[in-house]
Amino acid sequence: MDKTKKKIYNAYTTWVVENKKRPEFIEAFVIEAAISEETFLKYFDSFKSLEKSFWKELFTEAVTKTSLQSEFAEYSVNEKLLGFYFTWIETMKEYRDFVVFTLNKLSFYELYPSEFESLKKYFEEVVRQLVAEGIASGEIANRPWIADKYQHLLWSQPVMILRFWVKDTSENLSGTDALIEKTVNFSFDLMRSNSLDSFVDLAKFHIQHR
Amino acid sequence: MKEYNNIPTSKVQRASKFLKTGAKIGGNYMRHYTRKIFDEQVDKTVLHEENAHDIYESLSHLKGGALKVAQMMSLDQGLLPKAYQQKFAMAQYSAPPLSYPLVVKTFKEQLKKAPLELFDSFTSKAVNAASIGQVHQATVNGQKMAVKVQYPGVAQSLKSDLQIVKPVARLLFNISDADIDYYMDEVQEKLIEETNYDLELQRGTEISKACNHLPNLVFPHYFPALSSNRIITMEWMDGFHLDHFLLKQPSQEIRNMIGQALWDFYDFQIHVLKKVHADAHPGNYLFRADGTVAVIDFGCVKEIPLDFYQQYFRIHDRDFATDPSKFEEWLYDLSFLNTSDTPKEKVLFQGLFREMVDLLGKPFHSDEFDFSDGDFFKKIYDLSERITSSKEVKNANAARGAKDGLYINRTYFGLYYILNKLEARIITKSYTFALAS
Repeated sequence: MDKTKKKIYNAYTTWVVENKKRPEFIEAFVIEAAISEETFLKYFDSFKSLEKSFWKELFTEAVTKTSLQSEFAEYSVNEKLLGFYFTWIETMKEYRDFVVFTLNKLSFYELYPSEFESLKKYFEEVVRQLVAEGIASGEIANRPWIADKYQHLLWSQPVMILRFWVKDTSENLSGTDALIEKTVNFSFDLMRSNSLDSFVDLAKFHIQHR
Repeated sequence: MKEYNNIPTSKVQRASKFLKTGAKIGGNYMRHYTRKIFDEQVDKTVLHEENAHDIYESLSHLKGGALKVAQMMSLDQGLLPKAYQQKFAMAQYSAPPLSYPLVVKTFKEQLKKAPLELFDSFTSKAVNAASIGQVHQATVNGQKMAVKVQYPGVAQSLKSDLQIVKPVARLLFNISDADIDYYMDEVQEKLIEETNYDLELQRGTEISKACNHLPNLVFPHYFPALSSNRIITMEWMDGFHLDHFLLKQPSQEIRNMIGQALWDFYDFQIHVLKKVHADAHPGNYLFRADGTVAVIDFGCVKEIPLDFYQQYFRIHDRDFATDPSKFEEWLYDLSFLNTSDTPKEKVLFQGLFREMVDLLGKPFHSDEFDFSDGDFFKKIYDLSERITSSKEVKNANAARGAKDGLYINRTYFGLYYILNKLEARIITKSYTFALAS
């Protein structure tokens, strides 16, 4: 992660946590955070864009870090996704208070904050590639039409994991680890070729031979 | 002993100790192990189908902790109707293994490095599963190692699991909450200890060092630098699990050697170390064709309090065993009998304990004992069957026996079971006991 960017993220998240609200004016914030306004504006044009980029970059960093592990080469697609989540949650520990603040601000009807927009896009791209890889390796069933939508369906995973994580009170947050395992295993059980596929096949046969 | 003060003293509840949880749990152990020997059908279950169903329901939603509790308190077999046993066994085996990424994460968290940074090779899949962890095989410079990794959250979920198991256990054993607590505390303490791998490593090292001189016993070498409180790395041990080993039809001589090694191991621990590997479960040993046996799990170690030890093992003294008034004194000392017992209860329990002590102590009463003796195990089975199905015992609404006895009994039942499977002839004269006293 870019050092200057990281500095801004840290200053911003600390400010939010300390003041229990988001800053209103860039001018006032940069003075308090001892960052030049020019530097700030070079990267972000608003606090909103800062947050969007923050969320996305945490996940990007998790993906990069995980891919560099020597174990990664042996991972199946399922395990790659697990690895991403585990590292993601680890990277986020540093910003836990800010994450808690953000998710607590959600209204009852919102599943995730609008600042997740870039993260969502990036996540779906990562998953799209994973799914393609899984289909090639046979780990994921190539179901016409549905397989193209997996990345959208899987977006619910990081959201649920994060929402659980902010409420997790277990030691070392190990409850979240268990949730990640179960969530990913379940989704891959669904995406794997299973009884659903043979059912569709059978149904198709019946329709064709009516 | 002061623990007994905690037990409620209403007339019904007062009749306290061994023959309820002690003998009920103990009895279940006896039944569990002997039943396995005769493979008899236990249809006369103490429970209504409905209760069993509830129990299965509540247990099946849990993993790790509750499974372990069930295993410990022997709810698993012998007490549940057959259908539920099978369902339950399935739940037990379907506990999914830890994914490799989570293993990697655990390593980074605990040892700051990924497996491949520490080992030359590391199997991405577990080679063996345990109730609270799984085992991977690894190598460093050609040395094969076994790496045990604990499931995440097991330690924390244990306590809450125990709370759920409690009403179930109360139902099964028909004893009061206070009595359950009395034993549950003991079980809970041991279970929490089992999740502490640092402690297991320390005890494993300690006990193996102390028992190293005993013939035909092999202990793995531990690697503290590659271990933490959720990871244990030890030397890889070759050998077979009991059933697999027996399929190879080892000779009587080899079986005697192994049986004797185990007998000496326990004898030495109980009477000299006063600290015993209290999980005499066949899965904790690897049996080898050359007549040696490897001890691979030190998760459950019971330290025997000296005052309890002295009282309990006085029964080895022929005087206490044969003189009725001394025997009675012994029963009172260990709270197998209570001063509040009705005369009828006293006669009933005294008779039952007499039988139990004579029967279970039989191997100690001669210098040599043949554990292939089916008749002996049949008698134990019949007695435990009689205890668990006896109305009088059931109606005596309290637990009997000191909680420290729980693990000692469990250890002996486990040991007897393995020795029976081995059909070993054992020199049971306890040298170490003679030395110690």
